[in-house]
Amino acid sequence: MLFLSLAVGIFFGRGEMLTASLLEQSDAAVRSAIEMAGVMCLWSGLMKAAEEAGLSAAVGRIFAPLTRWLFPNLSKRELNGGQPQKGSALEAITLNFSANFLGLGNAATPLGITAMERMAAASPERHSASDEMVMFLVCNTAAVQIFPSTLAAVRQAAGAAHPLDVLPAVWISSVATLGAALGTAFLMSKMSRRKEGKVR
Amino acid sequence: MSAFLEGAWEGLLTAAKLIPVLAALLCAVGLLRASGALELLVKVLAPGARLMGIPTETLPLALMRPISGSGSLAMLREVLEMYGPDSLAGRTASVMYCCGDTAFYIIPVYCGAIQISNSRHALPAALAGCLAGTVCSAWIVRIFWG
Repeated sequence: MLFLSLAVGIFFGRGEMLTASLLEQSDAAVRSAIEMAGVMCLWSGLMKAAEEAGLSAAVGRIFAPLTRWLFPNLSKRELNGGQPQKGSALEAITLNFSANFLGLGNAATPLGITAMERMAAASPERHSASDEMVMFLVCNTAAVQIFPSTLAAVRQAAGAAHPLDVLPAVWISSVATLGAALGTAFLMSKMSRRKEGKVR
Repeated sequence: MSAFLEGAWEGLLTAAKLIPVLAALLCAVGLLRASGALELLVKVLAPGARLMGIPTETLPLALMRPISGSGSLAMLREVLEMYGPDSLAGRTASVMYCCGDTAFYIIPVYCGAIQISNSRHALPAALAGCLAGTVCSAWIVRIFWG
């Protein structure tokens, strides 16, 4: 992608814009990471505190049917009488799902990273994403939000008569997106497992 | 309180680990936008989009959605400004904006934080979702308001 953009840009005579963009973006990256650091500290801290207080176990119970279906292997290992154990990957996954569902994107990121870290601890492959990690990643990229606050704000600013009249359409489409993504992930993981079987 | 501090410290370390990933990512996205490659892609895909019932005004947004969150927000604003929020294009763009999220950011960041270099079928699956979402948005809007 990098080289293609470079080639197209030079071809169209936008060389100067390219170098300006590179400088601007590398600057933005560091600033972004510093901003993220603050948010991540906050939410990682809150999460740890919530874990100690047993709150995450309660939320885990609500999402248990969904997580059991999506992450069968993890569930077998970690579910303890219907709720995820403290410090388990499922606990982090559940909190990440709740954050995404409620539209708290900034909270979801550190929670998602914690979930990945915990899944990595249980996975033998050091540099390759496990099937469950892929499933989790897909759920994050196609997350269904109950209330799209950014969209509502933008539509209102643009003068929409009823900014939220698209809400049912949004729900239907985002569920379709999630369904298609999950279906593809499921099929592709089956395909890759069959390929591995043949190789062995 | 000590649990909070412990967690916060972990959060800080993770954020620091993300700087190289973010640098590469944002630079690549910036290059894509500055190079005009996106406009080229839109021109190429326009006839196909028209066949599938996707308004061509929303194509840049649809293409940008998995690549950049701020970029797609900017494009959404543009479409709403140019065609009005209650037009077919405006509503389609609004629904498209909410389907799927910045796959090219989420996947590398989540994987980069734990040093995973091979995300296997995560990206194709996410993009398949985005495609389904794009087509579904266009059709739903047509059904409700067409």
